[in-house]
Amino acid sequence: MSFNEIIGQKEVKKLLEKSLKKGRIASSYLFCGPEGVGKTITSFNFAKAMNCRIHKTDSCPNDTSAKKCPSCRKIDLFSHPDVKILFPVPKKIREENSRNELLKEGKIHIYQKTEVISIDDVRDVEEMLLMKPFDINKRVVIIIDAEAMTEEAQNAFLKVLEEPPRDTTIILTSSQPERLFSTIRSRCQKITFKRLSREEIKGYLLKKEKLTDEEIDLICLLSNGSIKNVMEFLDEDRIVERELLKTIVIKKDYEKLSETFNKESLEKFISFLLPLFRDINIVMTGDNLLNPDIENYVRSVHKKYSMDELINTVELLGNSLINISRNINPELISNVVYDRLKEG
Amino acid sequence: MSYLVIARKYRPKYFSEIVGQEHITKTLINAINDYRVAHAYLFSGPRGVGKTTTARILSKSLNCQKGPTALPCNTCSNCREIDDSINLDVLEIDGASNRGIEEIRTLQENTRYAPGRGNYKIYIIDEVHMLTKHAFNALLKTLEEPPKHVIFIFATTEPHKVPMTVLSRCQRFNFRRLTVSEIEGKLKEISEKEKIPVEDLAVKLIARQADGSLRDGESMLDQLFTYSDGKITVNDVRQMFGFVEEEIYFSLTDSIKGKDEKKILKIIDTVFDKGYDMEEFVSGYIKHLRKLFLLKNDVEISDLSSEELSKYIERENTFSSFLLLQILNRLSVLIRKMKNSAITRILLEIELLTLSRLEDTVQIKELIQRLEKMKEGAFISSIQEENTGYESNYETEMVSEIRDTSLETLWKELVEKVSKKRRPLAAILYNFHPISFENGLFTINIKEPNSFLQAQLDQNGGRKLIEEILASITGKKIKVEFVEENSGSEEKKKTTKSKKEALKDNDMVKKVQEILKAKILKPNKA
Repeated sequence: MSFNEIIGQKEVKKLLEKSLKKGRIASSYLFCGPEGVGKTITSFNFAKAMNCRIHKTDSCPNDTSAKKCPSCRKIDLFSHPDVKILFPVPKKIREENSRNELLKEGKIHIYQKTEVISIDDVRDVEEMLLMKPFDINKRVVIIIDAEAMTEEAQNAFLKVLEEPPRDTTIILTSSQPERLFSTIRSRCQKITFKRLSREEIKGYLLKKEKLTDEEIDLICLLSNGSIKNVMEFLDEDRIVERELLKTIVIKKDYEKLSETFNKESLEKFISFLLPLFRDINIVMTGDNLLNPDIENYVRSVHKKYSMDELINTVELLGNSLINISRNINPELISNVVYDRLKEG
Repeated sequence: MSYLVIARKYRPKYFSEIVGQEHITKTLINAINDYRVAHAYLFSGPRGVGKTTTARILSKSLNCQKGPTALPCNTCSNCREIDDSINLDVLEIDGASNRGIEEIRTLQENTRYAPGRGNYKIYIIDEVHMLTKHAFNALLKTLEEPPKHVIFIFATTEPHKVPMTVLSRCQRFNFRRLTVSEIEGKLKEISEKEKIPVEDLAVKLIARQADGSLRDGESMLDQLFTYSDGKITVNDVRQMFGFVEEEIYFSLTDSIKGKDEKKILKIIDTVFDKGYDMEEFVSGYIKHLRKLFLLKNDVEISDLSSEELSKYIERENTFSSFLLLQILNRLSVLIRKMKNSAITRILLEIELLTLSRLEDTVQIKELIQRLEKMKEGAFISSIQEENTGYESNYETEMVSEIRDTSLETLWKELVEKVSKKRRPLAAILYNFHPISFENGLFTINIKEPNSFLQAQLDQNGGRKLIEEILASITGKKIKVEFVEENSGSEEKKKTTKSKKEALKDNDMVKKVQEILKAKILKPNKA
């Protein structure tokens, strides 16, 4: 995959290509920006481009017909000895091999919210950096979802990050950079990724899937500039699920939900409600709704809530989300939520 | 030679090159010249202001082959080795990775051996705040009286995490944040050396954004060097870093003032689309409002251009000081909330919309004033006079409301005055309650018929005294009547009972009971 194949992010690509061209590659980068806009894939690509034997300022394209250089091929297979990729995974599978498995399956972000990157992981990296590189021009360490580093891990990382060994580049990616220490942030060159525009997403969908125009428009709107969301909506189940939640909310048939007390369904329900309440809040002023398909409902409900009630409800829902992640009895949480909804 | 980032390439090599920490460098130079170097130093201060750098220069000064000197030669093998951090006598330890008691024990063992080539064996422990409690304690003895040839230098951004016992054994130096002009100067110097011209305003913008940390400024400059061809302009800086332009903040302030909710949401939309860091946006806005606040209170701000200054002054009176403080307060709470929330955007939208309505809410001070006015209403006549302008309907409502409150105050005043004149009578009155005060008839509730109390009131002229005092308070002739009533307590019982039943019928409570297998014992008062 070359830089051209990454959707959007013109500014970022320009900067990276220039730094490759001028040979000014910093020792540490922080890629930040919302989820699903291409941080991870760009970091892989940058690693490839730094080491590519054929192209100077780019990596080998993904096109099967074109010839790939061995270094790019190895990185694509995640078997390059000098490119280390870290991301949050549960403790059980923290060894190299199972990480690679996940990488190959593209399941990098599944543990993003729940697991951490520990101090041991960081120590592994430090150890690796003590050795000489195998064959390569540039050694690259990529830390995906860096905000998942624990306090100890971040502290332990500070020294390496400030002065990595020669020819080593460290790339951190994060959708919540504010959760990183300011001391970490100050040691990196910060590169900001932007949300994709609707046109960019539309272009991507037109190329990739056989969808009707209406579906494309709806997904463009719902995705909120993130390919991750697009992928989720491409999944048939998600749309069906959404329809279900929609009918539940509109018909106030909360009983149906209260029968299923598991964590996932509750979490999905709340993450559906949150943007809905946000819409209810702004509908009188804004036209940028997150749920354009149920605009009528939003408009009709909007009058029933006062500002204070809305704020309280959103706060309650936000707290509920946090509580779910803290493993509090989902039954209790759901009862509180349903109770609030019934009042409304 | 491979490319080094600016922050590393231009790491100062002499004390004189360190920007903005003269109070520290001077002390250290004098200490070296007078042979009064302490055995343990603690350098604390925010990120990127020169802690590690100072530690390295100090160790070079002490171990340079040309003897302890404040001007290390940077050419002898010792100096060069320290620069590459491979010198055997200067050990730079990462306190955050090697934080256990085991590592500290090894360190202690090694302190016994004399230095190899230099005069001193120097331990630089960076990020020392991350040592474990036990590690710190294990260090205490060595730290108090280390061998002659050992010097400890600790560097940390969080000195409050270091135990007092360690702090008291070190000479402590607090590094300060750098001012905008100091950073500006250094950045200009670098751009001259790199031979890449940078617009003055662009440097200023970076320096301001660096927030007192030189390293931040340097890495931004580095990025710009990569990004642009030829001269670096203000526009480059904005595009590269997505600094939220002051312009956005100004228009946000205007639309909060004008309650233009559509505009507020639009601003958040653009901020979001451009991929700005939400927290940065809010903290930037706090800074913006702070400037307004300072100007409002006649404090001068030095690092503003005249153009910006006039824009701020234009808006000086948008918010009252009180409102401004309240907004600032709310925003800082918001930042904390945003830190551990997945719904930052929604929080931000709601908060800003609330802010735009904040002006409509009444200040507590004002409320108290209004209440005070009502209190004065004990003198019904005066209130009535005040109210004559209102509609008649409203007036009567108002007065009857005031009477309720006035009855209590009147009663209190009465008891107070009685107690001054005749204490025993007041003691009796404490047991009674006023019921009503209408048409010159003051009715008082005697809870239980008690001949003794009654006699006290009637025989010794108690009733007369009360009537006199009432007249002196209100300025009217008033008759006092005592009534027996004892239905009150029963009513109370009833309410608690019905409360309990109401609870039993509540769905929510039922569910909780089901889940927790709980029973209702006593309804809470609230």
